[in-house]
Amino acid sequence: MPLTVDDIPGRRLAVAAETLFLANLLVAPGIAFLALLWMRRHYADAPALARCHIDQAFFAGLWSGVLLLVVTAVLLMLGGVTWIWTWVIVIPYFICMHASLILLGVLGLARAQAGRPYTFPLIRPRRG
Amino acid sequence: MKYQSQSVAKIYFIGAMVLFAAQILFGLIMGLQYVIGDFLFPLIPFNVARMVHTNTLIVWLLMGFMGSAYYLVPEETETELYSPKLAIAMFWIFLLAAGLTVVGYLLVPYATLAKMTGNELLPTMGREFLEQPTITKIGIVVVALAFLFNLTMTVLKGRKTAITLVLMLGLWGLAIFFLFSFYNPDNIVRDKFFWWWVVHLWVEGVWELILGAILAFVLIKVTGVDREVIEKWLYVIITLTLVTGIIGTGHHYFWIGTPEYWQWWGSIFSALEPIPFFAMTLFAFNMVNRRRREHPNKVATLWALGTGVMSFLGAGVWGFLHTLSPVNFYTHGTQITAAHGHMAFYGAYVMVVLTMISYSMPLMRNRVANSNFAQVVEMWGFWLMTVSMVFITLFLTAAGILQVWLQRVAATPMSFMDTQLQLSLFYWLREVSGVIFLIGLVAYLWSFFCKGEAARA
Repeated sequence: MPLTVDDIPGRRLAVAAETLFLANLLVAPGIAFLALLWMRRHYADAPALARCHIDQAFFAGLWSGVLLLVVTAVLLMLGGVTWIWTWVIVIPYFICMHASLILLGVLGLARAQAGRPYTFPLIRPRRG
Repeated sequence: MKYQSQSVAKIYFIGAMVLFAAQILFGLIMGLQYVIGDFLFPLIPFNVARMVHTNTLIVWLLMGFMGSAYYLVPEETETELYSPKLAIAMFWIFLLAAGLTVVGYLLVPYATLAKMTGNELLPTMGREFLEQPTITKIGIVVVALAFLFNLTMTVLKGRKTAITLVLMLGLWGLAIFFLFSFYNPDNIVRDKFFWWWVVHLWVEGVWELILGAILAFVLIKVTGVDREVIEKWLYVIITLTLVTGIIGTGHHYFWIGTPEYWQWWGSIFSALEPIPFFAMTLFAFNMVNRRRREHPNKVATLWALGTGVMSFLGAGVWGFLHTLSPVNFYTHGTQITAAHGHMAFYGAYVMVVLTMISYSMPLMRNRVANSNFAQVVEMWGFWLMTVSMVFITLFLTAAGILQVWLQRVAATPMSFMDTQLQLSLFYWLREVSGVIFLIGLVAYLWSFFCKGEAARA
């Protein structure tokens, strides 16, 4: 039994994974996701807590790309950039989706810091 | 409740709730006037409804902060309040001044009110959010000074904690920056420049310290996490707040005639302003995840978490949305500002006051937590108000985007009033959301009257 939260095996990696997920959304899009991809390959034998957070962050990162880039691009193509209603839909959609993903990442980071597993709702791969 | 004098908070919270209800009613009246222009005209003109809506908000939040401080400080300092009688007297003076001011707004034309209250002796009226007659402003200063004297004397004789120090810093800052409301220069650029020292340095400066302190206090109580851990977070949050928020004032200086360097300072520092709100959300969830006890007051924890999330969305995300000067060039003064204002005020300040009320009211009524039924009713209030506020914000954002396009981007721009007509669909949807907010408020207020056995952990 670990003595403190800091002693829980894999906690640091779990925190790093969730931080990279947030960094991908906020400050280093793409680069942080590549780091997450590297982490997923490099730490295949990491403790269960770390594996959980790395996998969750990685798949949620993939979904973020689809929801933020692909769906937005499709909406822009369908509506066209000169039609006002395209922007009335696309801007609130992008803000809501981006903010929701950040909040889910914050929940994940808080769980990782507390040494607890986390599953992203709706966009999750189920934990084994 | 550990100290008898904490109970003075109760009347402040009741007064705040009454004014909150008034604020929402006038918001609904005004919302309807956006689509039915002569609704209740000439009884309640639009400018009066707007003034009552915003002024009651400010006053009830101040009452909420005062009530929260009167509850929090004795417990943190481990001593009775210096003078409970002074606190009670100040409440009635404050309520009377606020009530008379609202009656003045409603019964006489604003210019007449200015004459009646001797505004010409020290002209301070006629500015957005600071419409109060000069005599009311003087009353606010007297009440604030008495309040700060009472609390400072309490802190000086008791235990000093990081939470009380941050709270007192916030409250003293609140009083000091309000003094700029008395500075009313003829030069309109200078006027606007210092007007923001009240408005911005309140809501994006010192009020955030009050918010952080109240949130930290409630989280210590409901989670049982070590004070040292929570205080470290609090220090980080207030540092981030002050570093970003003070120079972030520059995002109000883009178009008022100030030097060009404010475009850069304002854009860069205010782009960083979501960071403290991000930290606050992480802080709230972190503490709840690391809780050491299951507090029976579940709804207070819900309000605390909701404050983190909604303040991040309203103040952080919706603030960032239009804070960079190239974006703000198109969006300033549109419904996008209104969208941000609604969610930020609700998410940060309304919710933190309701968090404190939710935590402390049962204790002031001699129970650790309300009955399960009362908590469920309050949770309905929480969700109805919060979800409807999200929709109010989304509809106003959509209206704002359309407004920017029609009025400022289109090859043949429309006039302001012609544009307003085009936005009526969103104004109707906002009004419907406002009605749902009112239903949520009724549920919230009803929860205080629900009976039943107190909930246990």
